[in-house]
Amino acid sequence: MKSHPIEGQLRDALAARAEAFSASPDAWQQIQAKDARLSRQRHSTFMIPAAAAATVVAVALSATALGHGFSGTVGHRAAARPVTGNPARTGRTVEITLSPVARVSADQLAAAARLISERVARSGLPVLPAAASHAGAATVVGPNVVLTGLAADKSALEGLAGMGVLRFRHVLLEEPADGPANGDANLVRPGVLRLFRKLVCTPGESDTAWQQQVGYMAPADWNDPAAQVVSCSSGTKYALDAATVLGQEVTRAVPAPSRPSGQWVVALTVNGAAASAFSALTTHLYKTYFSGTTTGNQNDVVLDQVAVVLDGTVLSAPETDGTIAGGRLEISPPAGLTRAAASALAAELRDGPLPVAFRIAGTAR
Amino acid sequence: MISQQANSPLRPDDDDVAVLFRARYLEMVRLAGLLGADDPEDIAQEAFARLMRKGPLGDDPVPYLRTIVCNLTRNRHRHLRVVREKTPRTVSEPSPEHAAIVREDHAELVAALAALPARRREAIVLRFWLDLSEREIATTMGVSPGTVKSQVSRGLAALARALEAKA
Repeated sequence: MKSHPIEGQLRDALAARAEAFSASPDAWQQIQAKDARLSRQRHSTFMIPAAAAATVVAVALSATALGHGFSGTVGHRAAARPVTGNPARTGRTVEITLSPVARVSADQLAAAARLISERVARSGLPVLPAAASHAGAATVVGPNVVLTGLAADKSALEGLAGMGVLRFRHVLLEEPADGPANGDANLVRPGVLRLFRKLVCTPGESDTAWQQQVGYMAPADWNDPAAQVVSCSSGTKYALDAATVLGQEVTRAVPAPSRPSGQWVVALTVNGAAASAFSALTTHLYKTYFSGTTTGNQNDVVLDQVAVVLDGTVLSAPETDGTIAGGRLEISPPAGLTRAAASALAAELRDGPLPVAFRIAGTAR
Repeated sequence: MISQQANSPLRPDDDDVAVLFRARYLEMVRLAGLLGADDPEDIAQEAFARLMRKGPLGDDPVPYLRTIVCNLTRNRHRHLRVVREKTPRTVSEPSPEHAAIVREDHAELVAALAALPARRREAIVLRFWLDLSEREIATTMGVSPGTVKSQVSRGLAALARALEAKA
């Protein structure tokens, strides 16, 4: 490789930066704990009848980056200094007008407002005194639902107004912004493959921006459990298989601290039928693709993933790193969320999806 | 070199992994850290746990460890970006340790490195921190040597541009 003028400087910077990372004294014990935990899981696979118990799914969503994002609020530190969920917080308020994208009955509209209010209450966001005095954070106003909260929580509130349809789908093709597509195009139906090839994913774009490219107009287009779909996620493009586990099968969603990192995950419990479906899928993935991931086969790395898809967007695509069935399901070790983020996501998933999708029709301060 | 006494045919001897752990754990933590992992130790520990479950150690298990660290970090990266978008509460708070440890003139390079696409960043770190050859990097990343060459040169060009822009 030819020498580049910044090479020396780069070597120095990397060497200096590396010093910032050190080993904790109990690292060896942690490794053995991980190993023991994974062995136990594999044993329980064969001992618990698939239909008997509900499956606990630790959805490993992630956390802290160096120097930006959630830094400063990791795990225990976040717990010591909560950034949300403090009822005493005050500030400017915001009113978000949510307009249903399809025709709904008055009852459905009221039910949606009630669900959104419950999500806000459970997420730990402060409910303003004015809102608390009547129905909650979300109320029906004419043909719309108006969501009221602190201006500082605007994007959190908008997130909670998402329809909340959860799907688990096998990843068939994945194409990062900077790399080639990996996976197996033979598993993708021709029509979906055409959409995948046509789609251009741009980091930071809105969901509607990519959805329009492929003619996805309504939630049914990306939520259809029987159909393969395409998706964008922060510039990474996916082709995903029909859904194995549906959000309706989630019977419980709670934020939970994950050991040993001390960060947070959302623990989902799904009913017995979903547990069986999930075990069949993950067993298949583990048997077929896992050994390839350990030798660096990039197609297998992609195909070993199950995407956790919320409202058509891939939240995470954890690798299946063990035979997973029956009992406790762990998809890649939970890297964790902040406590607040885990609470918000759990609140959105807990009671299932809204009866109708909304778009944000306006925001007033 | 790792001694190969197999008292169990299915898993490597814990002692072998323990030797490897003492020799290589810090390297794996730092590799994950330089690749931008949010919890470098967790990644390194997972890599060793997977090594234990993989079966007998090969002649040189170190490339395997590096591959796992790269894959895990890359995947978690993606989760991180998604969660950051979906999860509204982002609190920017520069960590004092980082600021103190990384010298001023290195900080810009480190920041530019963090902005690189994941694979380009991997190629750069493997090349200029671990001093691996193109062929070794290709094996670690599971790509062709030609891809490594182009990722490294594009990465260097992007870093140089980022430095010029700041100057």
